[in-house]
Amino acid sequence: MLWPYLGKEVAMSVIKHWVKLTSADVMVDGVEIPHQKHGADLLLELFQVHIGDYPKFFKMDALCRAGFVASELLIMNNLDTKSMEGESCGVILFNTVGSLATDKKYQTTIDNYPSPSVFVYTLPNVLTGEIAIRNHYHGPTDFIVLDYAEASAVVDILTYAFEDRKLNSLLTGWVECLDENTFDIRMMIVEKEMISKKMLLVNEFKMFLNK
Amino acid sequence: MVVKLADNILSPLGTTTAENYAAVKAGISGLRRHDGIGGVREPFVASVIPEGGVCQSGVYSRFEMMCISSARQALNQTNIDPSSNKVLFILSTTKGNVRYLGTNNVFEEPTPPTGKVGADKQTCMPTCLTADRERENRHNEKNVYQLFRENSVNSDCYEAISNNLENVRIGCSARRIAGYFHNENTPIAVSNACASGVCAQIIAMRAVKSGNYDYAVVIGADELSPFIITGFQSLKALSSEVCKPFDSGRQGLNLGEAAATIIYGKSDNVNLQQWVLVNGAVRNDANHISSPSRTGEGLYLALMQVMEKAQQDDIAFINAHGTATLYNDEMESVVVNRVGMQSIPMNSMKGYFGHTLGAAGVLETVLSMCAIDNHTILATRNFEKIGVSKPVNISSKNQFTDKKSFVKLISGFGGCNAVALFRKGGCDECD
Repeated sequence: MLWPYLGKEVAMSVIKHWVKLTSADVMVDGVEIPHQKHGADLLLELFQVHIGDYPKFFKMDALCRAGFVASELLIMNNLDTKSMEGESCGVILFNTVGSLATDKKYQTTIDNYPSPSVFVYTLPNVLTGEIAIRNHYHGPTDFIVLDYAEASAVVDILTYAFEDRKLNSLLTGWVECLDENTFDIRMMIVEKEMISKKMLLVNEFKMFLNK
Repeated sequence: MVVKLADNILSPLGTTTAENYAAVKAGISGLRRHDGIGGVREPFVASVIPEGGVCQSGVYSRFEMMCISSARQALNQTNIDPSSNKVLFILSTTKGNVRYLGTNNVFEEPTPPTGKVGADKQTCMPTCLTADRERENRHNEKNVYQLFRENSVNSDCYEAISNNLENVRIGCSARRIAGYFHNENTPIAVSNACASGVCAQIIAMRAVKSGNYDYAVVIGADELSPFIITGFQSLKALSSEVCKPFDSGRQGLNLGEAAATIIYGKSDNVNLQQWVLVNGAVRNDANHISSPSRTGEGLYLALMQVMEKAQQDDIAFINAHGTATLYNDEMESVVVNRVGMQSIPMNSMKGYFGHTLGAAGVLETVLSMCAIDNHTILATRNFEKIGVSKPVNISSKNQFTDKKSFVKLISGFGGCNAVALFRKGGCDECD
């Protein structure tokens, strides 16, 4: 796989399946996904065109909608990942803001009518749960907040996760969301054997974040 | 093997592990009824650290000072240099500084205390106000804005984050706390809701085993705020009385605030007095985001995985999550029966501390270790009559044990479940 990076094509040897979903940009494994809309409307458009018939989507907060749509695009476009389920599959996601967008939204409801349906989304690991539910993943799920996007810290944490001998593949990545129109999701599939190529993985993850 | 080197509990029941254990053994609870305090209209029952219980700082928030005080007390029991690059800080919290959300309260970038931190025995550290420009500059360099700029991440979202450097971010708190101890490794903040405290210990165990770090300092903490209290009220999860884990009259949970610390390190020759974190697993229910699966699928898979090579006969007790909500306690009884561990005594600490959220997994682990050190299976406070559908052996009063192992269960929102097995002294299957 070749990625344009700093003006030249760089061979990506480890990360094979990935998705980038921002307010204006959608790409899966290097292929642009056509779309018309932006922000929250883009998520709705992608949901209607590619997913449909999953009413839980409409209950989700902004972070979960963006993360969920990205995970669907990633999984449905790969034969390797479509059949994954059970204890061998886990989800580990990272960001710097946790569930800040929904925290702010809930805060505005406190003085009048504290909203239970908003409150349940004030934990970012609800997104890892949403993805596990949709795909029947029973493996480990973690949501890790770091002070900034550091690829080597991410790869270390993935390495620790694979100490669980039942785990074979992880849906992982960086999932920022500031409000319903402002998000940046970079997800990928990491298989157990990739962990032995740690330096390559760190470098490719760094490029992936900067893509 | 990964062994516990030191610990601390800071709660309404005391500022040391010994004080907390003595109070719990005597049956004392931190739970009180609170009427209309802190901007919460409805009365609630909770375990709250009283005013003056957390030392104040001009630059660190109350939550951060809870973490710092607890970690300092634990570090003071060791000769570890917390500033070493072989020390990793791991923070387990659900909401950190959320109290400051919407207040436009932008904290000062803290200046860590000068001199060797952890060398003195004082609880408070007024020296954290001492200026140290060079230090401050180095920390400022590490802020999100500059790092994203440096890494040239190019998107609206990162731009927006850079312009919103808010101190409510728990990663920011984790850095400030590690920074207090002059530690420059990227601290890990685990945000797995109520299961975070055990998940954080499992990460710590693997980080030490990997050889990347010699020591991992796991801090679990949450402070109560209107945000958290009204949230649980809105979910109708709170009991109007003291919580009654596994009891037929249980009506819900009580919240609590605490900070607890465990420091892990590696040892090749484990002595009989040392605690080993033998094994841990995290599994998801893949069922519902805010209530446990009826069959407890995630907790069942995690417990099966952890017990795979362990002998049930060696287990003194199961320290349950036991929040006293209808669904949680019922689910735990189902799981313990599915695994065939229903005859092993089981207890819950929620009647003493309430549900301390991000602190719970760490606090309850430390307390369970103390109990076995003291040959005791602790009572489940407020438990009288069994109120779950499957038979479980709830410990209703303090009782003697000479066994050396226990299992910790924990579950939370997002369908996340974690289980860990601890044993005092070495063992064959520990690696």
